[in-house]
Amino acid sequence: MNQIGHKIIHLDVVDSTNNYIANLAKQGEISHGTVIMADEQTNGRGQRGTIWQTQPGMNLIFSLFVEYSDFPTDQQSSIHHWVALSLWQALKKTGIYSVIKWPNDLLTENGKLAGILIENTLSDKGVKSSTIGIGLNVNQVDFQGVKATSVKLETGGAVNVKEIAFTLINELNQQFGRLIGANRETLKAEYEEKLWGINQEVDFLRNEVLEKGVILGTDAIGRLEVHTGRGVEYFDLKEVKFVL
Amino acid sequence: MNIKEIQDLIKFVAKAGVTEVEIEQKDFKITIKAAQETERQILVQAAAPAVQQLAAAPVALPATAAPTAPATPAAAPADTENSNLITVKSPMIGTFYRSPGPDKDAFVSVGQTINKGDTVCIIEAMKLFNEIESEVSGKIVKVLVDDASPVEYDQPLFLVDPA
Repeated sequence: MNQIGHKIIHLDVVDSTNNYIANLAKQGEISHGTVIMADEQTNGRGQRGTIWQTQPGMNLIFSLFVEYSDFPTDQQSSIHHWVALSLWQALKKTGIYSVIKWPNDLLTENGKLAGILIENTLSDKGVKSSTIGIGLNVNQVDFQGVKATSVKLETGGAVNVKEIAFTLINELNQQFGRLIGANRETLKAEYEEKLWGINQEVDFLRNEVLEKGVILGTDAIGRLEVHTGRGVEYFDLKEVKFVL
Repeated sequence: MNIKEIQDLIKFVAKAGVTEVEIEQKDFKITIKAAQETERQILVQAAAPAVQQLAAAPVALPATAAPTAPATPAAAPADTENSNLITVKSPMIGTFYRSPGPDKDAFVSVGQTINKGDTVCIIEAMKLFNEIESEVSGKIVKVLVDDASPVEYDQPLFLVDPA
């Protein structure tokens, strides 16, 4: 099997690197491990409909195509664990200790540093492939009032975007065996250790009402496990909003 | 790309531990291969997880097969009236989306002919977006779930008149 990053296509401008992969995949012209990078993304998606603001050439705009032989559908939250942990490790090697904001953002106390967007294709046999989009603020320092941070703001110096890309590729390769092998539980445990608010009492909003709870971890399908006034509860993304 | 940039690239690739990288940028294409020695080291490292994988496979397979097994008989005739129709069901819990984005056209509509492997919808769970491929070819007779509503595992999503 090809290694992750065996082929890298670097574009000046693209609508979205995830879309670019989707188009190549439709034509059958992409192999497992291919990475698309871009200096500028005109229609990048943080999540459904949310636009990720980035200045040309300043940041890591990175998408990776991964194929599986029928990865179990009900264990796909492990894909999040794999990617978030790899990114966390790559940032640590760059000198930054971040936290993972459940389920898929990386933050420091200064704001959002990175976001992950994963798009899978599913057949009745399982997950066939994933397109993993990562947006990491690298050298951008002005976020126009949005509470965000970057590698440069955190470390105090400019960093080569390609160097960070390869640090990330290294981590993704190192952890991939655990994703497709039998070590998904250890990926989950390590992901949970790095969660924002883990084992701490935090404020959250449920139906716009402020409550307190202790974040305990995540369950098998990726929901957040929180000890609230009502006992241990499992939350979907839409059910809670955290007050950072 | 200038010499300095290429030198940097080689340094990054070496550090990343990948054996071979092909990089395309504008009209420029470069392939960087790691030396033989490095390749051998990487192969040795990769051997350990591969063994674990093999050992785990027989255990993991029956476990994942279990939930899908009851779905197969149920996926047959929808009801007696429309006995020839096939129900496309949700493979997971999540939120059902009919289009790739809020302002985009629906993947499929009633009356439309689809082929096996075509994307029929997206189901999102915990920000993982899953494009669901149709297992059958035929014509969409009915869309059973509203856009952006929650769906359960095995919930019927579409009725398809098989080709």
